[in-house]
Amino acid sequence: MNDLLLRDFVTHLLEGDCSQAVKEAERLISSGYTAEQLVRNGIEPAAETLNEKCTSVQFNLLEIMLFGRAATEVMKVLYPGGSAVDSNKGTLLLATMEGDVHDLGKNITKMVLTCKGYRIIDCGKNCCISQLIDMAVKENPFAVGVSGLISSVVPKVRQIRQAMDEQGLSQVKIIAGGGTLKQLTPEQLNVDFVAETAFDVDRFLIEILGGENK
Amino acid sequence: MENAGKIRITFGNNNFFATFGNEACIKEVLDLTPVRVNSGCRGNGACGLCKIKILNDHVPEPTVTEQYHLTAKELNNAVRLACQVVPVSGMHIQVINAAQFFGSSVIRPTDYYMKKAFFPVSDVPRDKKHGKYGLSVDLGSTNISAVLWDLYENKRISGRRILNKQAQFGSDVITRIVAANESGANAHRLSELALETIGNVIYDICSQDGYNPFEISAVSIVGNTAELALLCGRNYENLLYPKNWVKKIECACKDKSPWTYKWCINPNALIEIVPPVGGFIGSDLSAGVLATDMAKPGKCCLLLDFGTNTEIALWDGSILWVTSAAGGPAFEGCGLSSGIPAGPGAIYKIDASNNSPDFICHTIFSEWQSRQPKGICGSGIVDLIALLLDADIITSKGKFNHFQTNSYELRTGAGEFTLTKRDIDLFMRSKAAIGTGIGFLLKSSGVVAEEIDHIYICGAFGKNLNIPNAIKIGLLPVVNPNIIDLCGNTALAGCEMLLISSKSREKLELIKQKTNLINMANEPEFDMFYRENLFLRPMEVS
Repeated sequence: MNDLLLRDFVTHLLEGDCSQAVKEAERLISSGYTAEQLVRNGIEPAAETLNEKCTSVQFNLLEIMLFGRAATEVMKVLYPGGSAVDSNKGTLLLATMEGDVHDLGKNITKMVLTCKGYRIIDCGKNCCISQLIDMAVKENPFAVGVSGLISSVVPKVRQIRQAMDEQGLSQVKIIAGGGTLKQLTPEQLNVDFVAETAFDVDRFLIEILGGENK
Repeated sequence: MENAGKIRITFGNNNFFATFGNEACIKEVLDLTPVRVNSGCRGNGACGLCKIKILNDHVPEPTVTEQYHLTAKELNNAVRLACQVVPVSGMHIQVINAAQFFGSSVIRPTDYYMKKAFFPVSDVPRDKKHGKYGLSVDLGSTNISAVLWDLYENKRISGRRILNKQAQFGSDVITRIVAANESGANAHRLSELALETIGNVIYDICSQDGYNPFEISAVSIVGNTAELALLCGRNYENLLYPKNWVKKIECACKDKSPWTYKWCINPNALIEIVPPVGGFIGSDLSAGVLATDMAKPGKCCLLLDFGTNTEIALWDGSILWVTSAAGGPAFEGCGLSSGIPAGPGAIYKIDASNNSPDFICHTIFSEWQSRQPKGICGSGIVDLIALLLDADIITSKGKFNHFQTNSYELRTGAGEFTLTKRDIDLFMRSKAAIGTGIGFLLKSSGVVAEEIDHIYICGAFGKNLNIPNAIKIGLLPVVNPNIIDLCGNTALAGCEMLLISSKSREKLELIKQKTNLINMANEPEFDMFYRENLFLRPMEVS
């Protein structure tokens, strides 16, 4: 079982100990591990453990941010040329909607999903619907994730579905999350899913992909 | 307090106790409780309205004033005037003629008047025929506070704090702006509600304390940008677009005659809305800067006005750097399992005990409300988190040390209050937003924490804050606690200066020219600053 030998690596990631995690990754690579093994058997199980801890009573933003930083730094070591993209998993657009610039949650989601092997296109903050649609037409994502901390973004989020349908993007799922949005239901927001955390987004994406494979 | 004691008060079916210190009469004691007695003469015995009945044997001999106002039957039935009766410990009184209830409370100068504030002398020329009073108003999202000034005598004569009626449209300003933007009717109603609340304050002050509202000839209003824009009924929609968050938002109303009519003040009264700094930084912040006199050459001063949207100002000796941090309402006790706003029943201070593992809790207003604490307010949460860190019950990452524990039960005589890991997480996020704001202002100005000469903490949350604990958990920068002043409502104090003094107005203009607004959304290092400030440990600013 190779996994046992990755135990320290996983522990450092979960502790958010960035320098130790990078050091351990470098050691493992030099002893013959591939980058993909470290992602599959190290980063992904660590993210999974964190996911299990992130029930609403246990949620701790700092833990996730520290893990994210450590995982991002390790990925830089593993793939100096760019990120590891699992072509099977597909593309996801992320945006903080027009009227809001609080994009911390979106950035964390991006980090977690990148670790999970998705190809992420980040449309940035204060992103208007037309920008989002243009990007969707260009990048052909299977889902878009939109976030907002303040309540003024709600009307904008409600309009996305129709705007996408008009461009023939009815098959693209819409996921909402963030301070204000997560207090509302998918029906109220006219979206497919409302996520409490970044891991919730992942769960929903697995559901979509699983559904398509059947 | 030599004279300290306790009286029992009956009002309708309710009974409560009130303590007194140096209050000269029962009316003054009642003024500090939620049940106030009616009065039309500010307690000099001229009106005879403040009737109370003494229910036990502490009945004093009637004064000449009481003999004049009260019938023989009333005097025999132990009815007296609250302004004439000297409080005696053990006295039991019944309020017969209670004041109309606006939910207001009396502001005393000591409630917010700052240690080192200097007050200018009134020098604004006034037309005597329009009246001698002036009113300063701090238009807050939760509370509206107002103070009445005698402009000739150059003194503060009365003050009230009252809940903002706009709360029916939601408690945060963004929700109110969205509502106003939805329909003209909503926008009109929001403006009306703010005007009504100010009208209620004026009515309460004038009817209770015996001042003629028609003699109010000047009104100055400060507030956060959203509130001022909603009051004027214009430009509030600009705040929905991030591109305007560092721009000036004009808050002016050309025709204020409906306002003077609504408030029953002098029709020629000069009503001035002190313009906001820009974006979400209101004139409440610039008034605070003025009131603390922090913008002095060669000095480095930091001002923090805590709230859902915390406004932060740093004076580096020549430039005023300002920003606002959307920390959320955790400091106001919102969203936490046992959190409540600072008010009656709130545990506002928690100490370690030498001879017990339980902590010692101090509750606000426990004398005249029920003695039971109802929850923990922001300053209490700061203490609790600092104590749990000290006791190694939680870590600097906000996790419980014992691996299966996810909450702490704070035991009090009146039951237990829970602090969960999630509560700590929420609190850490609010704290991080403020730490990030301070960090960016220090970075922008090139000031280091050790160079700060003075820190001013404003707002209700700041009043009961334990400074060493706040430094320990990283809510305030690492400085000598002695340089930190808890100032209370500096916005109101600054607004008073603007009302009475032209020098203060000139000073404000100068400060405005030296103000530099920082929009943290444009900072690429925001996430990194925020992450480092999430830790429950002394702030590290480079």
